[in-house]
Parts: sequence; C-alpha cells; structure tokens
Amino acid sequence: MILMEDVWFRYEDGTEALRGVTLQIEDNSALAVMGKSGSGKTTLIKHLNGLLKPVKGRVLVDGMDTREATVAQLSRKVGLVFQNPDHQLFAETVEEEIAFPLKNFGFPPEEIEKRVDWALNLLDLADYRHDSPLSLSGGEKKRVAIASVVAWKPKYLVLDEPTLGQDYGRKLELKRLFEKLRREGHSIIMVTHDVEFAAECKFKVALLVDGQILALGPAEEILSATELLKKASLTAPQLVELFQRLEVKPPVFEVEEAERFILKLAGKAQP
Amino acid sequence: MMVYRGFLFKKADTLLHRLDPRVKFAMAFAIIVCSLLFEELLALTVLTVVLLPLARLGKVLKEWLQTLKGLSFLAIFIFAVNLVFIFFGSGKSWEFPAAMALRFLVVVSAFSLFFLVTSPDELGLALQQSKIPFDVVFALTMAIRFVPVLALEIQTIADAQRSKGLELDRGNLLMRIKRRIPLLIPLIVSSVKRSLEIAEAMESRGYGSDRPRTSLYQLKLRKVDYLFLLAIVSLLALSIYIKLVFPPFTLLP
Amino acid sequence: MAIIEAQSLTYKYPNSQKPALQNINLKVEKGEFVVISGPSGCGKTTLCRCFNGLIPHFYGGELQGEIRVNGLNVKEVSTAKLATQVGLVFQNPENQLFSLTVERDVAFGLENLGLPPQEIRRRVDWALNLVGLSGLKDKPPFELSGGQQQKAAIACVLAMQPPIMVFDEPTSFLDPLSAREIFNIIAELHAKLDLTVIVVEHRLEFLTAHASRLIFMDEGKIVLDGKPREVLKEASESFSGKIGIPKVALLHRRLTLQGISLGSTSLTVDELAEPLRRMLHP
Repeated sequence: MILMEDVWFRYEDGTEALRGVTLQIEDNSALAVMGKSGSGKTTLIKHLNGLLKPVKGRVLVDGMDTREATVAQLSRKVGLVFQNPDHQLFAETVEEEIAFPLKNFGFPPEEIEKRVDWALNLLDLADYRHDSPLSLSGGEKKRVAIASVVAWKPKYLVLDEPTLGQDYGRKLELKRLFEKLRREGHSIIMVTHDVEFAAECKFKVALLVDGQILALGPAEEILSATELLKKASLTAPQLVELFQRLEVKPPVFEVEEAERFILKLAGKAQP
Repeated sequence: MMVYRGFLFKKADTLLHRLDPRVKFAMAFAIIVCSLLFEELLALTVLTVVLLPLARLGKVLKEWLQTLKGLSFLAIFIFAVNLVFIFFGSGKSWEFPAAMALRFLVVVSAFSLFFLVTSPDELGLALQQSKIPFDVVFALTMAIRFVPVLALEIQTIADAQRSKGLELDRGNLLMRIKRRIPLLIPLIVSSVKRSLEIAEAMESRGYGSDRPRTSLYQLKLRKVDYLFLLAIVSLLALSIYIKLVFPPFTLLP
Repeated sequence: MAIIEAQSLTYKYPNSQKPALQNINLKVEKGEFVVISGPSGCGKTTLCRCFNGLIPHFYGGELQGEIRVNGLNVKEVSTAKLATQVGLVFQNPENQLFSLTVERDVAFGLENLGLPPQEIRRRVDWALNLVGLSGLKDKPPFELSGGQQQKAAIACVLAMQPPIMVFDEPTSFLDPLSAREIFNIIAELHAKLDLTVIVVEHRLEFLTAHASRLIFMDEGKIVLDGKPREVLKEASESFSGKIGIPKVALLHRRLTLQGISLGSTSLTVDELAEPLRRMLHP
C-alpha cells in the first residue's frame, strides 16, 4: 500500500504544486489521477518513487518513508513510465533497452534474459528485439518504454499520460495490458486527461485541482458528476452526457451497455 | 550561480530599460575603456562609484551587488597575485595591485549592468540593425529562448533514467561519466528532433524567402538617448584629457 | 477550379522502402472544412506536408503525381512562396515559437515576406486579437500554457493571411478543455474569414459537427471520403476497431440495426438525445 499523508510540495520558483494531498493506493488497485495541465498530476506521481520529496507531510511506500530511501530502492517497487519515450530510449537494441533497468537493479543474467523475453512478448515487441529503439514508430517506442519498466515487475506501475498521441487501436491494446497486469497482482496508477479512456478502463478516479484532491471515487460516480468535472476543467464522457440528457441513471460508459439499456427502456416505453 | 544571475535580464520599466540598447552598450563600453586608461586607484574608484547610481536607476542594485560579491573572491586573488609579483618585486605602491583588482570589477560589473537592463530581444534587434546577418542574430536569440526548455528537458531525462534504477553519483569518475550516457543520448535525440521541427515551422512561415527581410521594430534614438550619448562622450573626452595632461598620480605621496 | 488538387500522388521518404502515400486523388474546393483522420502512420501528416511544399522541398524523397495548390505547382514553387498560400499549424506548440516574445513570433513570417513595418504591426494585432491573445503579446513563449502556445502558433500562421489553413493534430498535446478552445477558434476562423480549412485529428467527437467533409486514411490511401454523417456511418461498420469513432455515432448505428429509427447518423450528443427523448418520454 502507498500512503500519501498531507503532502505539500513547492518548486524552487515558488509554485505550490501540491497542497495537502492525502491519498491511499491499495495493493492490486487501479487509480486514474485526472485534472487539467498544471494541476499537479505529474508532481504527485514523482512523489511515489521519491524523485520529489514532500516539503511537508510524508509518503509511505509499503511502510517505507520516501525521504529515507533512494530513488533506486523505491523504483524497485514503484515503476514510473514517463510521458515521452524519447526522454529515455538510448540503447542500441530494444533488447538492451529493456535489460538496462534489470542490470541496474542487479538481477542475475539468466533472470534478465527470461524477463526480457517475457516483456517483449507481453508488449508484442518480439519482432523488434534486435532493432534500434530509435528506428521505431511513436507507438512502438511507447511500448518499448512500457516494456522496460514492466520487465522488473514493479508492484505499482505508474504511467504519465499513456494515451497522449495514441490512436484508438493502441488505446484498446493499452486497456487490455492493464487488465492483464492487474490479474497478475500489479497496481496501476495513471495520470490522464483522457476522460473517455478513463471511463473505459473503469479505474478509481482522483480529481486534482490546484494541487488538491477535489474528489475521489469510482469512475461511475466521479465521471458523471458534471459540476465536479467542470471544476477540474474536464468534460463528461459522451455517453454519460447522453444519458443525463435522457434523465436516466446510472451512468453508462460502454456502447454495448448503452444499447441494452435503451432497448430495455424502449421496451417499457412501447409496450 | 549567484554571478550567473547577475547577467540575466531583469524585466522592469525604468529610464535605463527604456534607453536604446546601443546607447546602453556604448555606456558599458565607455566605462570599460576608461577603466583601461587608468592605473590609479582614485580614478578606478570613481568609475566603480559611477556604476552604483546607474544600477539603482535601473532597479537592479541588488543583482548588481550580487555580481560584485560573487566576483570579490576573484578580485582578491588578482590583488594577491599582483601584490606578490609587483609590490615585492619592484617596490611599487600597494595602490597598483588594488587598482588592478578594481579594474577587473569595473569591467565585469559594467557588463553585468548592461545585461541586467537589456532584454536579449533588444540586444538581438541592436545587433541586427548593426548589419550583423539576421541568421546569426536569430540563432542567438533562439538559443536564449530554448535555454529554459532544455533545462527542463535535461531534468526530465534524468528523472526518467533514475526511475529505472540508474544511480548517477555512484562509483569513480570514469564510471560516473559512463553513467551519463543514458542521459546524453536521449538529450541529443530529442534536440535533433526539436531542431527539425523548428526548421519545418520556420520554412512554413516563409523563412528563406527571396524578398528582403523587414522588421516590426525599428530602433530609433530619442532625446534622452542623445543626452546619455552626450554624457558618455563627455566622460570619455574628460578621461582622455586627464590622462594626457596630468602626470600619473598616487594617493600616497 | 479546386483550390487543392492532387492527382495520383505517391510519395516515399528518403531511405524508406514503403511509400507513405499511395495514389492519392483529392480535390478540395474553396471554403470547405475538411477533417482527415486515421490510425497513426496512415500518411495524414505526410499529406499535410505536401500541401505547403515541405514535401518535396524540405524532406526530399520521391514525389510522383501532381499536386496543385491555388493554381501553383507544389513541385516547382518554393516553400517560402507557398507559405502565403497554405498556413500549416503543427502538433507540438512549443517548437513553433522561437522568438523571445509572442508578438515577435507572430511578426516573424511577415518580416520574412518583407512587408512594411506598419503593415506588420496591423496584421500582428489583428491576428492576436482573433485568437484572443492580445493581452499576452509581450510574454515569452516559455511562460505560456500549452493551449496559449498553440493559439499563438495559429496567430503566427493567420497573420500571413493564407487562403488555406492546415492543422496537423493541433490538440494532441493539450488537455480536453484547451482542445475544445482550439477547435472553437478554428471553427470561428472558418466562419468569419474566407478560409479553406483542413484539420488532421483523432478526437472526432468535438470536430465533426463543424466539418463539411470527413476523410479517413489508412496505409497511405484515402479509404473513405464524404459528408461526415455518411462517412461515420460507414466507418462505424467497417473501421470501428481502428479509428476512434465517436460513441454517439456507434450507438446510433447499433440502435438503428435494432430497428429503432433515428434518422441520419448523429454527430453530437444533442443530435442523438433528441430522438431518443421523444421515443422514451412521448
């Protein structure tokens, strides 16, 4: 479990990025941190593996205070995937790229080999194993970046805007990957402003506004609270909006579900 | 770090800020020339003191004093070296080493004052109107524009690699250098990508058109600029006159 | 005469085996509002680069076929000259602003064209006003938010007053609210000025209501091209796994298949909510 207790953070230039965030991330859970640019989302996740330390309050990762551990120690448990893959890919081959953190963490060679194979298959990258990561397309680079983190099987996988610039097909793949990792016991935390994607994933949602958590709850509840979303500069998913117009509760996120619902209602309306 | 800040433009609306950048440059230049003319402690003290009200006028006194403070160590070093080699060597007065240290302070702090009150944009404009090719000036201002972006990028890259267990400050010097490769390559790759995107955007906005380039702003000297120029020329003339007419003088007879 | 006309356009980037564009035939009439969508790597960005001559002049490679923009042959006219015909706004706002103030950036293109200072001043103020950025003209780009930077980038291109404006995924770096603002600005410019607009975009849910035409590309080819409603109807039958079809359009199709008559494909929530309401609450 990760615990953030009344966490405050201020950047050198005086910007107050977090103002008393209290948040609990359970084992094997899924959380979407949402809010507009500049609301403190990225600052928040940088606290989870100790890249940033709170100026007030504390962060506990499985009981370990982040102020008393190194980034390397914490990262073993909390794997962070950054937004732009160009900011991390450097190795000559995809294989080496994925092996790099495993070597840093001191895994034995046989184990590294096994895990690289596993991660390559999981992200559907086996064909590119000997290619240079720089020669890949944007979406493939993103997958390599994710694979290189997933390979050390961090208990908590944290992703910053994983859907940015990704097309619909890739988003579907990402959703499936999340489901798979959750079945294996990982916790997934993602920062996103993609409401449709968050709705489809059905993660728990934390709304961040000006460095404070405005609301926290199941996707169905938060993503249909129009007033709250407005405060976070977000808009409700299309189907939620539709069902609100129809004055029907509860909110619906998926097209199939919406179809069934309307057919049922129509059956009643036209006996 | 402190010294570096003393050379960054500080936005304000003062008489000094509003002066034509060329006049400001002439001012710094004149002060530096004067400081090179004299070896006398008195003259150099006067020059330093002249800078003080100017810094105040530009509302950058704090930053300018910081520059002085940051340079004081080097000034003391210059004083000491000169003292050892000249004072003990030739038996000259201690005034000369002190003057040398002060000269160093005048030269650097005059530049500091110039950069504190002149925006890089204005500087670019001044260079451009001084017939320096636009490409050169543009490259210069663009470099300044992307400094904060690049600083942020380096931080992000370091954060990304540290999150993958890279420990930058472990091992001996050679190992530490080797550990920086995972930072260097992404930085080069994204910089190349960035320059390509910038070039693309520039081309799309007519860069390299065969028509002669014009400029939105034209620097024009105003009355107050001429007044300052007059003062600068007088200062220079006075200094040269003193230098030529009076023999070298010392405080201690 | 069409303002953009491409005939059997095929293009290969240098050092590339596979063509990025394959036999593209496209006619865009003056005043159209075209939205182009498709999966990553389908060639939509490449096509944008052909409109203003970045391809072939900047990128090199092999360009076969013909492309004419406002009567000019793209292969023969320089990018600098085409800049007065086609304004191109890119994906990443940060790398389109390279001066030390917003105002200087907007002036950049006009200075390249060699316009007199008074004219530059007039156009800079006009363009900044249209995108609602007049108050920030002296700010350095680094201090602007992503959305503001993209508005500034639009002003930069707008000031050159090209008859055609092309936007290449202008909102993919922005949050939903800023994205909506950018789309509104684009729609407003199209309505106010006599512009032909082409927008490449993934987020169709905000944009299709403004568009007069929707094009889907896949693997370097145009696969669907027509009125937004018709294209969305076809796409929700054959491309729904590849392209993010707005959910209202998908739902509309499914309900229609179930025998509920809802009229032509809905583009917005309101369009679908209306007939459903009438059906459920008669």
